[in-house]
Amino acid sequence: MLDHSYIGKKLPTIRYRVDASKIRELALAIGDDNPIFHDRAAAQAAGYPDIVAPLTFPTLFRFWGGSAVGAETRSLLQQMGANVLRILHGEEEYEYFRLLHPGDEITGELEILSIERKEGSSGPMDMVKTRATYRNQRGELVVIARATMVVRW
Amino acid sequence: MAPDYERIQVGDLLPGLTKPPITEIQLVRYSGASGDFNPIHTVHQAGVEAGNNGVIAHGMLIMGFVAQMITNWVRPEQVRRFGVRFTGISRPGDVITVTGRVVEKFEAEGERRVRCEVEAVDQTGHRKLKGEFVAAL
Repeated sequence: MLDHSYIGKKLPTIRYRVDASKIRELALAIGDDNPIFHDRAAAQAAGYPDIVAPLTFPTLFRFWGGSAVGAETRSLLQQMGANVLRILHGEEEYEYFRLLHPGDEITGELEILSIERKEGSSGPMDMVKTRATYRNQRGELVVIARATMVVRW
Repeated sequence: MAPDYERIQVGDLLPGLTKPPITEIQLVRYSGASGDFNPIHTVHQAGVEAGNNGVIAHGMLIMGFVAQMITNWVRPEQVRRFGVRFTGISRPGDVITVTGRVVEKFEAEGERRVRCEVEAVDQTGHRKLKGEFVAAL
């Protein structure tokens, strides 16, 4: 049973500074060779001030931007009672408002919206819905990430 | 060539993408890049304990493949929304193919937009995720 007291609870703020090497590292891991993710001159030739981040880059914020006590979803789920080996990613959705560039200072507020118990074929599962709202150093909304994590028992 | 709203029709297929086989090294690289160090993606024994018979790919890696297809087609600043539901696990050796199709043309917030369905399947046709995105053209 997950600790339901986390629903709606104020969680530690996520802080992450975007830099070119992490953008490039993610694009390389995915194998995405689009030059706007790798090369400043190519990005500028395409009309950008600097390289831009790939669409799934916001996934780094919660993993690298948590504090020691963790705004990171998986460690939060562990704190709430889940076994890390039994967590699956169910859904992920991004709503984009602005591009991410090197130098952006991101702050994020992560919320646990709901926990819903379902009976799966291999036993009970808790569907944990989260929403993270990310803003840049100017306070502008950059991206909202909604996720469903599945905790199996 | 950049997609043109006038010429696009509902039902049109997007240029698809087939990725090289997923490798264990790629999962190590993706763990480091993303910061997702759940051992089920990199440590064989953890994958066995998790009931997966070995390591499995990060769902977000497969979503990243889909993102690659999308930004091969439109520029990142044209994408308004992108969401997926993960429906199957992927393993090293899997060859992922990403496809997409235009399902709606509409106007919203003063923009002409398209909604497209996307999916990723492996070499046996087993589906890994299904989703959609909205782009302004």
